[in-house]
Amino acid sequence: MKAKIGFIIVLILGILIFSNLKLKFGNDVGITAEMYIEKGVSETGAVNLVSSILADYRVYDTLGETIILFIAILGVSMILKGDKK
Amino acid sequence: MILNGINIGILLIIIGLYGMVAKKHIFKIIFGLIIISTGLVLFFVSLGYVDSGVAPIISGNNIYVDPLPHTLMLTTIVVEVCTTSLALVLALKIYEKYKTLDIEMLEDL
Amino acid sequence: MSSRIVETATNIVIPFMILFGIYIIINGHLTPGGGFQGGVILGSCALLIYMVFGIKKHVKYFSIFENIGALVFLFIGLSGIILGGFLFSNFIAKGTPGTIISGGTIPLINIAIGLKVAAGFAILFFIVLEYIERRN
Repeated sequence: MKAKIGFIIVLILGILIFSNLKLKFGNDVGITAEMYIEKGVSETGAVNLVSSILADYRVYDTLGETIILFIAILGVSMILKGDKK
Repeated sequence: MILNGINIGILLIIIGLYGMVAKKHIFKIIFGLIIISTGLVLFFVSLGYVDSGVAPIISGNNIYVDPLPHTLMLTTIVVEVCTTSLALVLALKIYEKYKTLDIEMLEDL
Repeated sequence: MSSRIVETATNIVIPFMILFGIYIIINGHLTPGGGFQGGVILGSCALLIYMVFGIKKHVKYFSIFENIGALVFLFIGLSGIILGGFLFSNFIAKGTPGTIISGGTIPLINIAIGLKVAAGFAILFFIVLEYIERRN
């Protein structure tokens, strides 16, 4: 019963998404990508643009990601090492 | 339906959502979460693709793909690993206490 | 627990894995790679050692490494306030693009994150393996 209801809900959701999808595959780059490709090397000095975005432009993402990793380790160690028998 | 990365990514997200909603085994719910993350990665990386583009490492005058979705998906992969590890450890503790992984048997949770 | 074949193969493979992880981390601003990818390679190397040679009581050193990585990362960000004007500013000279010393603070941030991720994944594997071993 639950599986049938879930299947119907997901089917309706899929039909709604695919009937309204206007995204083109392989079109031109956006304005932010042009900015990164033109100015990225001269502004950061790194050739690899993914690394320059990760560690220079959007470094707050990386800060939050390390915090998430720390919280995951903290949670796992609290759950598994809590009961010393 | 055209088989490109965007459509297959959305299809994977919908399949994972069905697995999370309809299945009763805890491992299958976690597998649904992993499938959703994989579809999300495929979807965003396909959004940044440009025709005949190469990886965004600047050398000469090539056409480069969008570097921003690659970076965001790098973040997503690490978050997915953290979430999956926490979910698996919780499943381990649930199995130790109740001796079952079926979520309909867990009445006094 | 493990056979002689697995131990010998692990002895051969482990130095190359550590070298490859360090290469991925240090060349993160020139080639595909970076702190997270190389850190995960080093962490899986620790998992291989744990699974083949048994568990040693080395987890407290890994937690020290993780703290060092996080503190170096935050120290780079905070020294950006004093030297560059805002948090995480790129205050070191950029250098010529394409060489190993370029990119300002990007290689330092990659090394700090690589250390933190490698130690973090090693701790994660260690906790689960130690729990399973303690239960048996």
